[in-house]
Parts: sequence; structure tokens; C-alpha cells
Amino acid sequence: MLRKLLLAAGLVLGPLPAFAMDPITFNRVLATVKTYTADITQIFYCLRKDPEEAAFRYAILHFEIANGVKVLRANGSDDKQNARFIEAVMKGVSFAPADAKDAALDPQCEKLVNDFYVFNGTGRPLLVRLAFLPNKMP
Amino acid sequence: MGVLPASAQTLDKAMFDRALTEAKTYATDYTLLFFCLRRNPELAPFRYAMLYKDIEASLRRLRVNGSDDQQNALFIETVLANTKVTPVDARDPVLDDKCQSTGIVTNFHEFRENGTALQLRLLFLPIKP
Repeated sequence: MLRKLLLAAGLVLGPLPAFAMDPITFNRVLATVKTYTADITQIFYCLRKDPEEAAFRYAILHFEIANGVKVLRANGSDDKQNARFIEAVMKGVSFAPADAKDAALDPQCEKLVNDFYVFNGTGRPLLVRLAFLPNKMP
Repeated sequence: MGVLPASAQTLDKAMFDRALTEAKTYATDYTLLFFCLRRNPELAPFRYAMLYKDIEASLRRLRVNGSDDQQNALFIETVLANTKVTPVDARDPVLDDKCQSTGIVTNFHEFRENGTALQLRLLFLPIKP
């Protein structure tokens, strides 16, 4: 199959590195993703009615993944690990519709959104949270 | 937004509308495809990665054809909000039949019809990345 051959050659999912990232470090990456997705899901809820930001929520997530994959690759991740990373981010984040209501979360929104704008606490981008990886994004 | 690379001009509205239509059709096709591939031991773990990579490659083509940040965001949203990735244990006899009748898995392996990658559905955009 043409696609399988391309996959095997790394032409579809990117170049194949020689070895994988060590499991302990990769598990820390996945744990970081889990916290990030919980935080950003709340932030995206708070931004759901913001006329400027709501439209960019999916784009923000996409570029967070793009940056994350770059830094993972720089630290030796293989295609399987990259795929698990992408899956963990995409599966972990929920996008609240504009008419969603969460009375428990509403009082926290002002702080959550402010932290998001200043990259602080729960608002830290995924790339910043992956700063424990020794090699920086190329 | 600092995370979004800026581009110089806006992609022509008719072209962009066509790109969105392609994105919607792709999302429908790939929702079925991802259902059909859910138990494939080689490909199932890569479904989210395929989706991400396809969006990324398509964005490159949109950008060189003049798309702006707002258009890129709408394009990403159209794909991600409309594509569903089925869990491995999902069961749906109707969709099982559709996997067979549409030939989508074979088409996916051969890059054609309903199995065509998103970036290949945007070849009508004149400038190559």
C-alpha cells in the first residue's frame, strides 16, 4: 500500500528519529499534558463568549501541539510518542459551546482568563510547561 | 495572539469558502474513516496525529495563498470541530456496512476520493508551499 510505504518512510508523519525519548521523561510529558488540558478546558469555557478569542480557541490548541511536537522531537521523541502526545492533547481538551453554563466555574473565570493572558499559573502555554526538557525548540 | 504567525494579505473569499467546503467534506469522510480504522493496530494510534499533520500541511498551503490569522483559525475550527475520532470499542453496524460500501479504507491507502488527505483537497489553491 502506497500510504503504508510512505508512513514507513516517515514521509507522512515526518522524519523518523533513531531512538525514542526515555519512558520516564515521556511519562512526565504526558502528565504535563493532562494538567494542561484540564486547565485550558476551563479557560476555553471562560473564553467561549469572547468575540475576539472564542474563534481562535482551536487555532491556539493547534499551535500549542505544533510547538510541543517540535520540542519533543528536539528531545528525541519518535513517531509513536508524538502520536500519543497529540492524542493526549486533542482528547483531553473540551470546547464549551457559546451557550454553555457552569455556575461553579463562572466565579473563577476572571482569574483564569487573566492568568491565560499573562502566561501565569493555569494559563501557562504547553510549551512553557515542557521547559523541563533539556533541548529547546529548534 | 502571539502564537499565531501573521500573513501579509487575506485569501480571496471565494477561494476560502471553497477551502472551508473541502474541510467540511473531509471532516465527514475522516470521521467515517477513523471509525473504520479504530481497531487497526498499525493506524489507530496515529489517527489524531494524521489529523494534526493534515491540518498543518493545509495551513502551509493556505498561508502561501494569502490566508490571514482569522481565516486560518476558522479553517482549523472547521476541521477539528467536525471530525470525530471513535473509541476503539465503539460499535455501529450501520457504519460497519458503510466502511465496506464506500471503500473508504482502500481509498485512504490510495489517496483518492473520500480517502483523500485534506492537503490534497486544497490543490485548487494556485501557489504551492
